[in-house]
Amino acid sequence: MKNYKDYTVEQFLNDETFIRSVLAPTEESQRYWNSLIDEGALDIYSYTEAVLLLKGWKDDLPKANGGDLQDLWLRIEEEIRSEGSASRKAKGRTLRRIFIPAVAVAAAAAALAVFLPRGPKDTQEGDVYVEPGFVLKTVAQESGNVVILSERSEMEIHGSNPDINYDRQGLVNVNDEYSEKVIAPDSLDKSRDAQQVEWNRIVVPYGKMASLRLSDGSTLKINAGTTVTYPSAFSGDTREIHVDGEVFADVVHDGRPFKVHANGMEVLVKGTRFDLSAYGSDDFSHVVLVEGAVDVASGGGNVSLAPRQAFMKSNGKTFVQMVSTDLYTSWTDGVYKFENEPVENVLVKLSRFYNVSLVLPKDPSGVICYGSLELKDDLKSILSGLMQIASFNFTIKDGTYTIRWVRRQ
Amino acid sequence: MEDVITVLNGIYSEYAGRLFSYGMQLCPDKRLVEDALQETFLDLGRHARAFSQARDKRGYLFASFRYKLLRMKKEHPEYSSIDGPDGLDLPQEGTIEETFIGEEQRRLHESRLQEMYSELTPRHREVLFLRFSERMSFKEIADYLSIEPQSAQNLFGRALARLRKIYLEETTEKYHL
Repeated sequence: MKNYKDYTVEQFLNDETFIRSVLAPTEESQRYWNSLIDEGALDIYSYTEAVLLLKGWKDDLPKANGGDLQDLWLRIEEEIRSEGSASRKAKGRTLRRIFIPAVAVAAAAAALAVFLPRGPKDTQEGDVYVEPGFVLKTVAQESGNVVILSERSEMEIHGSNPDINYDRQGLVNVNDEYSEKVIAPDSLDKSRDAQQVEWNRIVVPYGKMASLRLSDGSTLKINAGTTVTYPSAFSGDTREIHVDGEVFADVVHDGRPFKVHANGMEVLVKGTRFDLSAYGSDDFSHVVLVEGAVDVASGGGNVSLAPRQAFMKSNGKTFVQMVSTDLYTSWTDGVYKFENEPVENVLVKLSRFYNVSLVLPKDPSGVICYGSLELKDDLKSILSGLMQIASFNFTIKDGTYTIRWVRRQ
Repeated sequence: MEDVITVLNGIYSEYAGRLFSYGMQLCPDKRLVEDALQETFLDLGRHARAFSQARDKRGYLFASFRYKLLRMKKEHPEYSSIDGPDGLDLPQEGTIEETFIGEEQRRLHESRLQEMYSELTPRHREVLFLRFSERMSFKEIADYLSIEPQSAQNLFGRALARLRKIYLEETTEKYHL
């Protein structure tokens, strides 16, 4: 075994084995570094900082889109063939491709669609489809329960992970019990225009999750702090929903396109499973594709994702990268999984999940975490549990969590 | 013809993604990077023999791609301002002496860990990419960039120091997430 005892941050970042283990970890490499940490055979503070730096570097690396590369190859192949058949040598001519303007136009149209959500045409008194969701959100935040608002009814659902189902006619049942109270009156009311869409909004507060089955059979797992606006029954040629927050969607293919509008992004789905996170309060959004195909239109352009690719948007910058989808979808099982993750990264993710401000110390924690956390409890109890294992304490003032490391002797 | 295409396709599958990521370190414009990638492979099709005889195939490809991208970048003056004092030079111009510790790049106030990466100069990003992603040794980096191994090591050291400094600044900022 190599002696890492006195390695500095720079030395770790210059070490072949270390780089490989962080960028392309295997079970064996995880075990190796675990054992070195357990034996105290390295300086944990240097190690932690090196891991943080290298992971941050890797996360920010721009990755090519598989579809774009494929298109590019087809152009190259075509060009080589035409050069060959004309049996002449091209003299270093530049090939400017001119597909950009068309894409830009499409993106602009998509962005427009996002900011102009299509509610019912004539909004009547009592309609729930009002523009900003935060007033409604506050209602749910205060009660701490999942709330479904439809045009004529409001339903508060107790329990931490309710299961909500709409059938083809737009009738709803919760946890396998038809609730008379919320049978959508409009879908039974013949006097109303059949084309009129009844919009509903589900509000899931922080610390709760919900499962929603839409009338077409597509399912959504809805994460904490999320609002989803959807029709009781999809009518017309497209299926559209609006999301503020995070959902894991399993979309049923039925010939009609399925669109998700989310905080400046539009995701066009063709029967697929993906995770989407776009909190209005957050400047970081992502779409992670698990299976199938989606197109994501955002302010900057339009990209197609291949499975295991993620579309990331951070402070207005967008990029696509390969990810381990597990880490993005584990919340649907109510857990947050992490591997070889410095505790500061874990805390940042938790603060994001619970939407609180966080202040971290300047120096590295020297604590590397493996495992998973259950996200059922409130943040304070999770941190209280974590602080003993991960050697920190925290104070809360005006909703801001301030972390201090507790140095082990 | 078909043989050439089959061989090229194999090389393309292995390298296109890597070259794309690399190119984005030198010039953060997807269109230009894709154009350079396209030209690199067209060139490869024309000079398939030279390539097949190259000892260091990765080095050949990267160098060919780098040359094309930097030439295109130079033809588009709108990119020259990105580099600032730590600009990248076309290899044959032979400017080995660089001023790495020049003016600090404009400090961007962004609170994300990932953002720190964008504050490095293209030169720094390049050496980090070669070392981390391509796992090149300092000898290989030196040969590739036509500099002394010691200079390659120093360059990497300065890029790391910058990375750390930015990181420490980031973490003292308040996360509102």
